Amino acid sequence: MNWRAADTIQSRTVIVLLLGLGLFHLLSLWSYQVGLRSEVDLANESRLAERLVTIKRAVLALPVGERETIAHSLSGGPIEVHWSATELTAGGAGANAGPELETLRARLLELAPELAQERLILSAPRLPEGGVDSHQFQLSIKAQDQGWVNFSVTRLSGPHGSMHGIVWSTSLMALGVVLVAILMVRWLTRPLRMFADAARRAYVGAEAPQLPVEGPAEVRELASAFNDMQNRIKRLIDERTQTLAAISHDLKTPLTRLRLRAQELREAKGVRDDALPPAIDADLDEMEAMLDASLTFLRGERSEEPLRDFDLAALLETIKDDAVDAGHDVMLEGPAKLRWRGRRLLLKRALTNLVHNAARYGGRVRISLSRAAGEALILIDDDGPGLPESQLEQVFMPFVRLETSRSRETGGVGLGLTIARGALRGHGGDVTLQNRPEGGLRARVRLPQAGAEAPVGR
Amino acid sequence: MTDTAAASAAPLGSPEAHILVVDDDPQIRFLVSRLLRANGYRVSAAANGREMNEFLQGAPVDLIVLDVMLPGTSGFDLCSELRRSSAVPVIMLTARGEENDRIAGLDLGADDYLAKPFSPGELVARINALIRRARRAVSQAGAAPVRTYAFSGWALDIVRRELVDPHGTIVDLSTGEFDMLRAFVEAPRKVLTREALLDIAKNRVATGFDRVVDVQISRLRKKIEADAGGDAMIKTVRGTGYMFLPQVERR
Repeated sequence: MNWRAADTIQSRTVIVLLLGLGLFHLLSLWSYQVGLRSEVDLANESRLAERLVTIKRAVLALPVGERETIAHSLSGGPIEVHWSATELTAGGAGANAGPELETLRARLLELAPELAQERLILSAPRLPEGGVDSHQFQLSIKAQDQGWVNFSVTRLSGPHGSMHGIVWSTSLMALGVVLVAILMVRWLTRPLRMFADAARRAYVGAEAPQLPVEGPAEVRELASAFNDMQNRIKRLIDERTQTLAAISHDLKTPLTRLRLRAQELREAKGVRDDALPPAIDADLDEMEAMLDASLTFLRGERSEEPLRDFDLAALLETIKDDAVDAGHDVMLEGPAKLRWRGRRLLLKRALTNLVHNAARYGGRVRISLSRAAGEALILIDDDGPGLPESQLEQVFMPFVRLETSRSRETGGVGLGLTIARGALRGHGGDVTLQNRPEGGLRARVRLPQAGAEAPVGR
Repeated sequence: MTDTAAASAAPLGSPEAHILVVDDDPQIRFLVSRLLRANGYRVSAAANGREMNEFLQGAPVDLIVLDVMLPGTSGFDLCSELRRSSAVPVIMLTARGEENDRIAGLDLGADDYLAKPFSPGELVARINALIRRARRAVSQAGAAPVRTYAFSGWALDIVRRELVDPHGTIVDLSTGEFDMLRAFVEAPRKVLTREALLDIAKNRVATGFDRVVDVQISRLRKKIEADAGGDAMIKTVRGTGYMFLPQVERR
């Protein structure tokens, strides 16, 4: 049995029940049949013996001349009777055919000891093509005075007629087993499906969903253990978020001071190096960006931003303009307006990260926006050196910084792509990287229309 | 760039405006005070809500720079308390950059919000803008604070800093574009000179000074005139500047 094919508890239960009950049913059916057959055989044989005796007596009670006539009139049913002067059995006098008939003979003699007083010969008629007809046998009893009473008996078969009913009842039972099993297993596994749903929802919302503690004892225990686990995870995440908020608050105060001091340095007389204050500002920018990225990443998918309608084209336009203002060479093509639904700020951050990434490593950047099959498709192409195939997925891992020229000059903590992918997957979309045949890297963003059917966080 | 921008804008305070800086960090108090003084303001400082209230009983101020994370009463509470008796402009400072915090602060009556670590130039620019607006408001006294400007089916939400088109779709604006559009809707059907717009634009953008106004205007036009059937909203007034054509309703 390939368990892969029967993957659910439901199908497995049905299979086990059907196999087990089927085997049991066949066994009991067999033993019932055997018992029934011997009962029937016994009844048939005693009836046969009785009739043999009766007919024999009736035939022999008459004078020889009338014996054939009475024999004929006593024939009926499976038994045909003739009287003859010599024995008529196929095997010839004294011939006995086969152990089966031998057993029958012994039983008949046992049932009707009277028959033993005369010679009793049983034989099976030969068929034209050779062999023996097992449905019939012939039996001859030697009369005390003269002649033989010959019986031709059509063997009664077992209770074949009832097999139809048995097949029906077996099928009905199997159907019943399947139905009951499906209903029962469905009822039993309902909590399991709830667990799966709750576990999936757990990281989406800020609230840990609580499962109802109900059902059989094992399920109740599982539910309460699950709830405990949910609460523990939520507490851990909350603590982590609070710690981070505290750290970030504590870091932001000295960062603010540094900014103010850099400003004073700018205005102070006697600063020899004009490049110093802007350099400090750039360092501060970088620190801020890192702090920000870490916080966003650790806050994770637990976005509280509501779904809103926004103009995706205008959003990309702003991102492009900001990149251009920062001195990058960025172009955007696509519709002037594309109304979309989603978490605007989260998506803006994701797309900004991707565009910055392309601008930082790839030089010229071309963004294209299009719409296909209910999804927005955003391609962000650069003409930089691209990435080795083996690293196209790796770069999405958090804190991964590749040991290539592409990463050496970078700031950041290696979270930009991670955050981007998290945000997009949270909308039911995704971002993948691929090397363009004409050179450079392409970030391919799929973004489905967020609606009720696309729960965020999957 | 920030120093020149700030210095040229400073003499707005005539007589010089008085600013109260409320922050529990002594260094930040000191540094912000010195920055604002260097930009032509008169500055006092308070370390917490109690000191702030004591000070306000003694002398009126033109603007308060208020930190959110204060020991004792939080900046949010101080702000809503203050709003019951005074309309003095308030800029909130906070280490938390969350969107929700910003909206909470603005809903409580703060006039602007700046996340730490802010750039000094940005702080000075926002203070300049608020003082300028407050001076204008005095001349049209009694006007309720405006939260939304509506024009041709569009709405510019000042608190959320969101532009919503006639279909209810949010149209993303850069900070520079938002500031410029705000200047337009505050003064509809009036010519804004290139100099005035440059003053707004150069607080944000580092690119070439002369072109920056034209660039920002063209970007803004692209976004708000995209589905207006080619109807111009911003009219170029040759030689002087630009004019915002639609009628604006204040809410």
